Amino acid sequence: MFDVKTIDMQQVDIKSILSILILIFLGSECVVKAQQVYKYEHETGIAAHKVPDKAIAQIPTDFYEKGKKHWYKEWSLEGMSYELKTRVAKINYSIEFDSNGVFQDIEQKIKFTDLTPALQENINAKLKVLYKSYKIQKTEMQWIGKEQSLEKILAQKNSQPDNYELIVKAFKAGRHAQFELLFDANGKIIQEREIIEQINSDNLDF
Amino acid sequence: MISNTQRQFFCLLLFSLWGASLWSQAAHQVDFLPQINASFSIDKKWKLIHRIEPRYNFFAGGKFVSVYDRTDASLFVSRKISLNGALALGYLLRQQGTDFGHRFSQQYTTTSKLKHLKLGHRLLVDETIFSGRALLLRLRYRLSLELPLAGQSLDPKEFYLKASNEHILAYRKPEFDYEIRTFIGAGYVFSKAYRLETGLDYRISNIMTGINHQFLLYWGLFMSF
Repeated sequence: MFDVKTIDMQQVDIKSILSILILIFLGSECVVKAQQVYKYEHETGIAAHKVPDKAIAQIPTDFYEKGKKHWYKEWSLEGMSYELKTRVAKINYSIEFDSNGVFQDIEQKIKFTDLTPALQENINAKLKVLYKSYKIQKTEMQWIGKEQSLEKILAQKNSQPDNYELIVKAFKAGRHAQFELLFDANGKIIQEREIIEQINSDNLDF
Repeated sequence: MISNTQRQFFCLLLFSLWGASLWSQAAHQVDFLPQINASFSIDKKWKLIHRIEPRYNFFAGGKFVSVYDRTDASLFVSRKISLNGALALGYLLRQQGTDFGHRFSQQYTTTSKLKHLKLGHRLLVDETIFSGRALLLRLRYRLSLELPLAGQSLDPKEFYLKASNEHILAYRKPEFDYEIRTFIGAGYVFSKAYRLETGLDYRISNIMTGINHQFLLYWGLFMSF
């Protein structure tokens, strides 16, 4: 006997299909432009009830209730994920879960000047080697969820982050571009990705 | 003591009365302004932008009319000078009846991103030669806002709201003039290459010599290749 599976077309998310097509297109671009790693994200705001219960269950209730919450569904070259952006006690957090609601990482926005002088110096030295000129636009501390639960990370507020994520606008290879850089806790570069902006601003310029 | 709410109410009332008095004293005109823009990237820095923009009057002098007014065709050459900034030189050819006008423009534009908003600044100077009239010189500044309606940044298959405000100082011998343009509208991004936007553009011109109000129903198609 054959096990016949039927597909409910209403369950097919058209946005997901379109995003996959865009990602395939961008993916082929990335293959052509070998050596350069790109970051592409397509996100859309969603209501909390569309987020897997498993994701919400991992967030401590007092933390979740305190802040103004914005949930996003994101598609990137790595796949689909859910992201909660919230602000609690004047601190901006971004918490990412995979498509099944498994906790991935939490990021906390800080000022670059809040890093230790030694780490600032170390990161600046690396950036000076990479770019002719640069400006740091955003700095975030990142804790990875592989070995620790979200609850445990939030309970140890002043713990050492696993990584630091920087958004930098810089001049490299004869042109201006925006990059996302990931440094480990000692300031060693883990990853550099050029951020691709999908939509141009002709309608604001002309 | 007057409370803040009362103060705001009186300000709104005065502003409305002032607006109504201007409306009653001034000439009015409603135009339809569709435009098609096509931009072609030469490389990561340079691009060409073409625009065709016909204009039709359909309300003027207190009555409905339906009259073709003019067509503008323009070409801009733009060079990126920073991540979000660009310089551009443009030429516009205007056909109005049997007359032709020529406009040369130089502009600097920059965009910046706030949490949800994208801001666009445009500083522009232009010089217009139109048959039989003195040279028109204008200095313009426009602030534009773009607000995505789904998520923090604008992606394909998403709607957005757009608003802009532009101030124009003009000089045509022997007098100066001042114009303010305000636009409110919405748009939709079909894909990386196509977007469509529509809205209402309200213009107050001849501020120094006798106010003229203009309303423009705007449709804009933007294509990039």
